[in-house]
Amino acid sequence: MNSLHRPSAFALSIVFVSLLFGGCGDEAEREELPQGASVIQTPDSWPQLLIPEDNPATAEKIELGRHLFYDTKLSGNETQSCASCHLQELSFTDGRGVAEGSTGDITDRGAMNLANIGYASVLNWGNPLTKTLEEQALGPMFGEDPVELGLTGMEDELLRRLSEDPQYPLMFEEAFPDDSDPINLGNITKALATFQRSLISSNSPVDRFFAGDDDAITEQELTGLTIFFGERAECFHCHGGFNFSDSTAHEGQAFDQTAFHNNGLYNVGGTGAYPERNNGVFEVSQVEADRGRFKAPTLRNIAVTAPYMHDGSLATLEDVLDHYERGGTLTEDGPNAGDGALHPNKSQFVNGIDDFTAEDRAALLAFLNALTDEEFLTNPAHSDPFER
Amino acid sequence: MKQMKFMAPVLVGLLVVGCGDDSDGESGTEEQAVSITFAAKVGTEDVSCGTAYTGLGTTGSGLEFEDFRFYVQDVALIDADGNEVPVTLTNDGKWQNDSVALLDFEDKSGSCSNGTTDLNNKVVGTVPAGDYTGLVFSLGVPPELNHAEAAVAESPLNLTSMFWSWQNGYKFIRIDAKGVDGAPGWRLHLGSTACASIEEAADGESACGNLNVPRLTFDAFDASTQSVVFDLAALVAGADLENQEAGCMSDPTDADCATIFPAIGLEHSGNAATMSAFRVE
Repeated sequence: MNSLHRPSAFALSIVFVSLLFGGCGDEAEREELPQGASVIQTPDSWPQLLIPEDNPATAEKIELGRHLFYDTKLSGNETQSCASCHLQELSFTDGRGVAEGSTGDITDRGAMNLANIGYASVLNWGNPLTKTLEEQALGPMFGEDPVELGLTGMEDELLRRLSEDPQYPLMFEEAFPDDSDPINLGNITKALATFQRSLISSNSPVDRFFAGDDDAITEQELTGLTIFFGERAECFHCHGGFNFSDSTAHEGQAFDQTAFHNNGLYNVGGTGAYPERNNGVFEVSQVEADRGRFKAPTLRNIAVTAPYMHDGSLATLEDVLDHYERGGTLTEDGPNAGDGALHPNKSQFVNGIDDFTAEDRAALLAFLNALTDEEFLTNPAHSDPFER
Repeated sequence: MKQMKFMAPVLVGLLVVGCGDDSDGESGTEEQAVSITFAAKVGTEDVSCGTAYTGLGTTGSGLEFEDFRFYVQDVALIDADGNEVPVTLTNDGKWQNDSVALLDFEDKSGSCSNGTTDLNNKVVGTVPAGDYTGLVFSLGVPPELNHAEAAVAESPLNLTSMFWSWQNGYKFIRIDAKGVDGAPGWRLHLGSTACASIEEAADGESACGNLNVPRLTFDAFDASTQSVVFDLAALVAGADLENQEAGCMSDPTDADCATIFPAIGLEHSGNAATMSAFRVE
């Protein structure tokens, strides 16, 4: 088995590298990037991050954003920070199916994996409207249904807390040197966005394999890679590209890549319904074809982001493979009973995986585990600055 | 109510300077000031935070306000010939920008602790000098401002309480009330829904399928003596306040909106608009 795959490793790496990294910006394009883009290090083979013109990245802004991200001053009752639901060691997820806000409200969906979130073309599980991290920050801060950070109506209090802090006034000045009064809501969202853009995960075993180190992954992981990128399992259609997500945006793109998919997780009562409040893009668009359509998030560090799916309803990666092998989840009883495999909006790529042997399954799992980037999960630059 | 609503044109000339009107050289037109007074009531009683109002809805239930704010836009006076003459809003950097005015009937006291201390019951602006007999305005925020970046928006569009982040817009009306005597409480968050398919969002458009911007016309209105009353008792008259999911959140399938939308001049659940919640007195 192993010997069959070994000779193809090099050829494969060429094929997949071109698949994954084709369309990268060339050198000429790169020179036109906004000043400061280089403070966020990305592999040379990756396209450049999109950075809004009015929010260039600087080291000072990243550091300010990092402090804000980890600071409980950013919740109404000062019990939670962004990091309460986005834990670095879990690739900035929280290990729960759905998150719990600062006042005890339970959210409808799970905390998003923030690895390479600066490359995401859409930020939320089911909202095509939220396209920048600056805008997205307003959701958890000021959303009320459910309450997350619970800052609604408390913007003056928040600015007072930051203004009276011994550190923040100077940090805001350094991050926003052109502003006479830099402690304001717009700059808070800009700093948070910039810190999140700096959360680059690019050093998993699979990355090292693509970079030319044939020994970076095992034979089994390589077998899993071929299954992942093959037409039998069809994983890559929605989780393709260098970021393993088809909702990816970067410099040099001529087209907007915004995609949401119904993967057949539910089909309540056989009517095409999803559990209440969790109908994906439909909640925003009210278009029936959007019912059950959710973003395909990055699979980077996927082994540490359990439980899975937008609502955490699949506990393990094994469960996820069961779901895709079957071509949708069958909920046998309870309020959500129904066969997701028969959902009318289901993606054409979720058709079940034929002849999925135990070896195939083990290999695909091994590959998914090889997407874990230990360096990212422990990088001090992304860590809690208040810890001592 | 005591203030003089129509000031002398000469005063207005001073007021208009620097208010950001970019109309092209209508310097010959005389302008007059107009101030339109609004009131928020429950029946005949003025709304105030910390007061329990009873006998509401089909169940005669009780509510106590936690918030009561709403935006108006596209304000015009109607002249004797029936023409709508737009009111140029006075941009005061606080309650009004060039397009939108915020009316605010909560003062942060008592149950309204998430609000703001200041109150506002007026829309202030200018119109060409003339005699006017009617009023027309829309609730809500213009589409082009409804999806702009809220964090850096100009007042009154930078109030986080009015953000409606899940649709990337604003709450046009925000009325929050907790239940009295075991009633579950009731809210109205009016906003645009069905905003942008994935394709439209990708193109940078976010035209909402349901704008939910009622246009309210009062043929007989004298700004110097009358006010526009938003009556909560009339608003919830058809609602069963003992059986509310969360109140009306503007969703087309939200059963809690079925009688509320018609009362502010919008269809819902097959119920035609009747517009009973606003009146002039």
